[in-house]
Amino acid sequence: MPISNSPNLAALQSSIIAAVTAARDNVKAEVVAKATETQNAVSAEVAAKATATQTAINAEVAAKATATQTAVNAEVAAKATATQAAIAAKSAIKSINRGTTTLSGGSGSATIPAINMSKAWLKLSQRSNTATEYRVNSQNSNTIDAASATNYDIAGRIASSTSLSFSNQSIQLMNGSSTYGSPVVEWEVIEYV
Amino acid sequence: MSNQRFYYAQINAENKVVCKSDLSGEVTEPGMIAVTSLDEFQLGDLYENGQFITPEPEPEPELQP
Repeated sequence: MPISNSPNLAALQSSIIAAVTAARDNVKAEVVAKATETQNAVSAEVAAKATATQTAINAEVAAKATATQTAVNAEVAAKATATQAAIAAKSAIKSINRGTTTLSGGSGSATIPAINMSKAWLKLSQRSNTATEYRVNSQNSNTIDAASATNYDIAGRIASSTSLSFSNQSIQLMNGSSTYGSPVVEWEVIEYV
Repeated sequence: MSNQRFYYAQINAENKVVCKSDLSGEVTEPGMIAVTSLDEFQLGDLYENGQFITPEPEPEPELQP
């Protein structure tokens, strides 16, 4: 009987094939396991690095945004201050006070914040009459008369740095045609720089 | 020049409003009542208990011949 037909040889072949197949399966399983482990490790590392990078970018963007906003705010504030200063420098008017006063018994008064009388103008107008302006006199007197030339003969003056006084010397304001009312004067004090 | 304004009703000894003022600065004189608006009272109103009261109008006098 030829050796190739020996039952022992067939059994040997079968056992060799089984052993090779088992070894191949083990190697395959090990390779798959290691590949999976490596993939997981790489994925975790990539995710961690991506998160860290994103966090760093966010922090940098936020810092730059804050810095930019701060710079813009400072620039806007500086320009606003400069513009306000330029406007103030160009304005010759320091203050304006205005009001409406009723005269009683031929006189009236008004209180104002302290002004420099030598640089102030008193403007009078009486209701239903045309406004008339008067300038302080050249001597810078402390009491400056500003007699009006309106129909109701109301005079006004800057009596002190904090007060105005008004008087109507001879004519009462006629209210309609049958009664007399109290004269009313509208005034404005313009103080220049 | 500041844009801030200060509004006052000025009253006399009888608590009658004799002046409406729109001022550039604050004043603390007696008789100067600080208000938020000049529209909340009229000349001739009476200032009583922190409020402005408009008095009844007086009857018109007869014309003299």
